[in-house]
Amino acid sequence: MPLNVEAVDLTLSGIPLLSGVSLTLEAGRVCAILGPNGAGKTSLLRVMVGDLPVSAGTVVFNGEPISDISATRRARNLAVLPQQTLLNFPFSVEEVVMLGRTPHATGAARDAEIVAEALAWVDGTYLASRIYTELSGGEKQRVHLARVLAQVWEPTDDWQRFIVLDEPTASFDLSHQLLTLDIMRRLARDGVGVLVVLHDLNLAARCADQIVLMQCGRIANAGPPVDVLQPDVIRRVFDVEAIVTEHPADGLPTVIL
Amino acid sequence: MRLVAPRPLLLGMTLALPLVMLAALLTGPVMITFSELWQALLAPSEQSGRNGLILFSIRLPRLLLAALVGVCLAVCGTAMQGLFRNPLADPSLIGVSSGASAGASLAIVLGAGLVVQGTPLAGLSLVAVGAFLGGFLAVLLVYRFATDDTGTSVVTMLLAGIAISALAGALNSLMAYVADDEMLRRISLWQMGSLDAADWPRVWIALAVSALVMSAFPRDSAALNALLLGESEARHLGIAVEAVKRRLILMTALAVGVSVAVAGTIAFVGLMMPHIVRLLIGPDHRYLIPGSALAGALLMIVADAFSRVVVAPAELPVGIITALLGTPFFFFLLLTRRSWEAR
Repeated sequence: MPLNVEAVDLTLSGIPLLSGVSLTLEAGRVCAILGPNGAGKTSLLRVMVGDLPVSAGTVVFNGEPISDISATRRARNLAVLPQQTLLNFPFSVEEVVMLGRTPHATGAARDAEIVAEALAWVDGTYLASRIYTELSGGEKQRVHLARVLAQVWEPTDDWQRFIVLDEPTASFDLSHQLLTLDIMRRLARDGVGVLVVLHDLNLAARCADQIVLMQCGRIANAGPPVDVLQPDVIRRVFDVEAIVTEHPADGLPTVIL
Repeated sequence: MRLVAPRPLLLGMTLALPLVMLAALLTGPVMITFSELWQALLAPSEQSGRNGLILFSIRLPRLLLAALVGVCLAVCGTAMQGLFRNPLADPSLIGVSSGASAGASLAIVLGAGLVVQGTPLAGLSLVAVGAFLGGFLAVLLVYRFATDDTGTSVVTMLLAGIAISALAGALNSLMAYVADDEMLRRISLWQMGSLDAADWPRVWIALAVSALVMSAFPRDSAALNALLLGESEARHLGIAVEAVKRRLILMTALAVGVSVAVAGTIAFVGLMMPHIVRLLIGPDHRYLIPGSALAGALLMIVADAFSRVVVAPAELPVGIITALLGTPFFFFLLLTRRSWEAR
């Protein structure tokens, strides 16, 4: 049962942000959304997770309209990592990741195991007892990545799990950018559906099953990376000239600017 | 790094509370010894008449009222700071104290004709209702101002709080202007925060409200923890954010309104106690709420004991003592918060 938006329009304060957007996110697959600034990527994300009510169209999660689902049930199966989280209070890193277990009732012992494993996934084990407010920007973002991983760590009911990541790699160094790609592939192998906003076409090509290019509130192009990452498409959406070639090692499409 | 683990601190304060209460009970212009307390307990009315009167009619209700008001203020301060993700928020900054104070003044002045002479409880209830309504209305206005479709803006809320406080202050002054001498004295005692009118009816009211607050707020600990991430993040963690906000704000208006009605506006307890406890044990509300409650009770008991002996046989209003302790702390906070609060 996928996460599905159908013919969605979104208008805020008279400004149309999305028009006629339809997208289906399957469990066990990675879908990357790319596009110029202001194309509506984050708006689409916020509509898909129920943050913003649609002006027209439907958003369906596991077969039910997203606005009808109870907050707890939704939170157990859908985790959201925003671009930035403003946390000013001096929690320890473990406590922040533990917040991801808020919707669950699995018990303190199991939760502690999950927190430790999630931190290990993001290369954050060494941060566990540090104070969150004293971390660097990249470290903070990794802690929040671990928090949303902990939130959908294991199935709790018969629903499919989804995770939505808004520019997760923005403040990461190279190795942690690649680590994030690994995490997304790992999640997909576990049956979690991943929706990720990225800016780097090559990162998207390396992790996504499906790439969605957005432009001016519409989906300009969608499909497997090989089909979407074409010079004429990139010129049309981003207004840049690019060469697309095959990666010498793994044959994935690679964009050279 | 944390200075102390949460459980030992809670345990320590729980153990300290009865000892501090006992010490405060014996302290005052008339010092009472253990053996005199023992006698008064064993023979309530006979030989120990004077000590019995001081202990059980004056000091004990006052002590309990101080502790209960401390609990209400500190716990509401904790909830406000958590709810608005701002360690500098406290009930008085969002207008509840000044609103409650204006409501109390209105009730004292305009309600004077309604009170049947010689029934202090009726007079108290009217003022309590006035204070509660005043505080509640102020918070409601501030909250409405700061809330739109996208959520509650902290900055707007604080600014609206200042505006509402100014309005309430003007109302207060207006009431003081038209009040007669007796009313004026009651109004100004309120504003200084004083426990010298403590009696058992007030203790029971404060006890009821504290019990309500202490049974309700801890249930929202997880929600408050999640809210520190932001409202939409809390929603994604399964928290019914709007319901939690409404609940906490309603309870704060009730508890602080009643605190102001029974003991006047007492400065800084709601700001200081959650802050100190958070610095010691971290921001986890499961420990922060009971910790702040205990710390608020302890501070108020100590401050009240001070207020009775510092200029004995006269006494200082306890609000002056807490403000004298609180203001330097507030400056200290402003100077050091950079070191632990990210901007």
